[in-house]
Amino acid sequence: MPSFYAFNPSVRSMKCLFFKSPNLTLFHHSHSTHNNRRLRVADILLADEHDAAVDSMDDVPQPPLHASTRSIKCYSPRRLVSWLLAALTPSKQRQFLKRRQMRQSSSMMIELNDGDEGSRQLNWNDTSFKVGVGCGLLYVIAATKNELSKMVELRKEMEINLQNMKAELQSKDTLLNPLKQSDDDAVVCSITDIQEVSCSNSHLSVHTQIPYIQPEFKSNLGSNRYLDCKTSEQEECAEEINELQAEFEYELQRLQLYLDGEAAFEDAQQEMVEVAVNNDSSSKSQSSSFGEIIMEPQGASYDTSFGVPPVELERRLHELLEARLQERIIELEDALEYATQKLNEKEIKVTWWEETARLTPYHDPETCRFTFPLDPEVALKFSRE
Amino acid sequence: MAEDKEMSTSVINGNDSLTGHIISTTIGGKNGEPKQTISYMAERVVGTGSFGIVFQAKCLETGEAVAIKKVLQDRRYKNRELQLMRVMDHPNVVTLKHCFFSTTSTDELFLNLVMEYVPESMYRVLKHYNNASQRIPITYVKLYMYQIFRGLAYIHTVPGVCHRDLKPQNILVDPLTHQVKLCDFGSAKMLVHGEANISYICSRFYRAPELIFGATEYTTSIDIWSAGCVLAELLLGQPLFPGENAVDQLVHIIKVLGTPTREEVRCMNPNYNDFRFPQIKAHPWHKIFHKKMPPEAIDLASRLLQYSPSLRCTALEACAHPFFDELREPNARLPNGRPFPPLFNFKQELSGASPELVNKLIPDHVKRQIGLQFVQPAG
Repeated sequence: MPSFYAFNPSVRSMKCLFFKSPNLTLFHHSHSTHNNRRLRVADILLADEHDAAVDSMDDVPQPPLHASTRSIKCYSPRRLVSWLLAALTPSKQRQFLKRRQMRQSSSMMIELNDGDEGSRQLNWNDTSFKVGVGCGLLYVIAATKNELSKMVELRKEMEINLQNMKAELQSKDTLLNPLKQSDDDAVVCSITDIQEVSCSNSHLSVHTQIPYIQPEFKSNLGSNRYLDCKTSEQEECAEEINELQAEFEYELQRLQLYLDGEAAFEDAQQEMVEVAVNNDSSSKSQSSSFGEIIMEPQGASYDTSFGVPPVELERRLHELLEARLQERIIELEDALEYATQKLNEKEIKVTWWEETARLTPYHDPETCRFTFPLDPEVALKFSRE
Repeated sequence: MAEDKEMSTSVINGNDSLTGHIISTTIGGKNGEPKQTISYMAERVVGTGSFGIVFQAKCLETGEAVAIKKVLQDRRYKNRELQLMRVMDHPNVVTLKHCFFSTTSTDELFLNLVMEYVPESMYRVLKHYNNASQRIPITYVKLYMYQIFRGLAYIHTVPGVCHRDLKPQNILVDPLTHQVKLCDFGSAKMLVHGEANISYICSRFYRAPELIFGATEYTTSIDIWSAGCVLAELLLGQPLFPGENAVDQLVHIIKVLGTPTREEVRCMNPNYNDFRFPQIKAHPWHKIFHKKMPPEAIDLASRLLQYSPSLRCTALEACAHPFFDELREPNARLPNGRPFPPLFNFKQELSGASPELVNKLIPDHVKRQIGLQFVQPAG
């Protein structure tokens, strides 16, 4: 896909990056002129580095070196490469690398001043720089290629997703007349669906929602090829979705029955008179086995999770608790009443005995004989009357 | 399985007036097998529901009685019940004999599941005893419950299926042999660990509390709860938790088991963790049943009806419970003197069980009979 490079703006920007790098070699050569005062990338980097070096003055206690570096205006190629690399390395490492480079380059400057040895080293450095830049280039190209293939994959994925969504919509339509449509029909439908999607590829509006995908690239791919490779996949997909849809429908149906059952039950509760009629008719149509009047699978219809509403349960439990307490109160009251009655009886008996005991000394034995055989129970009856 | 069109003698109009129709279908004809025609004479409708109808029929060739469950078939997907029924093979699970598709004049496709016919259901047995103001003899309770657990142990372990609608109506009883068979796998499903399932399954009186709380990650222990409710119903003669709606159902459960602890609520549905329900005291189990109730029955009920799904015993553990020891006696027989239906012919369902459990499940006299030496548990 050669056209891809040409049309992709991001690729274009990448290329610019590549072309910049060779410029750097030229730029390196110009360094040897020593008095080129044009603002260059290296200058900016240098200034940057200078600031960093000032920050870490304790580590590099050689302030005069900076002056010499600037006056010489000779930049070690290794240093340039390291700058390049530094741009790729994380900031923490970068700081460290910068410091190291500072020491190395400064020592190199001194060597350079010393004479022939230095210049030889410079030549060596020059070739290594080129090799380094070459490697860097290869690396960047490889990285870009990876990116590109990733983008292509992403695009394919997006296409598939779109197709699936379309197929889903389509299968929803087929649900309206499911029994008249055979599996073959469904496949036919999904194929026409693909064609629709492929046609719409030329419409920019459809794809503006999908980033990183160039419309030109799309048209390059060609709808036919795409159609061929995706048809079988689409078939499977449509089938699967159909199956899921059917299952979902079935579950919905169950749910409806369920809710209906619950509603019927509530109605029955509200209108006690209609209970018999209602139950008979509803259970006949809903009961799930052997013609018995049975409970339908019931669930709480009030909550989205189909669990019981906790507040309602709490209320019912409070009611239950109250009912139980009420029961207990009644029980205790009954017991109390019984106990007081017993007490009263006992008190009456006691008073009778007391009375008898008090009266005894004043009565003659005859009367005593007459009173004693009287049963306390009978006496109690008399006293009540 | 044949997929022939129904050739009924007259046009079927709806679900009624099926009686007397002859349905012919051919089986075989594949892999060089000879083709064979089977005709069924529809006799009476024995059940209707949202799923379709069940009718009793007679195979004209063999004279054998069958139950045909006729359900509307969606052409786009496979019938789950059929898929599950095909893999089931156990004396306590209703057998699928054969199945065929049929069409009607309105071009609707129906799936017909031809199953063995069992004349009674546990529901009708209960009703029979209730009408006579009697309790089911405890031997029958043991026999029925044992077979229910054996059927459950099979479906839970071998095909890994949860019935999800266990209730007296779905437990078939042969009145002569007293063999019990689980039926109606219309709600059954293979539960996959970590996968959510619908919670609006199971009939209300027999719904496990976690289902009422709306849990979606439940296990086969919901069937164990249902079996516990059936056991209590067989012992009491009436449903133990006759809730009028979901909340009332839970209130009935709480009346017996008391308010679930926070931990128990978390086990059932973590979404209800934040709620503090008023504390209701549990009703002691022995006060729920009559005084002469064997303590083993009460113990089993309390082990089945636990809030925490993981604390409920498994179907196989339930089979080994002392409540069923009477069935393992060497000379145990039905009250009418006939032998029990087969109770110890276990197969793959024992593969995951401990040697100790296996030892308990197969009585010594059976071990001697089949000449197998079982590994004695260490210690």
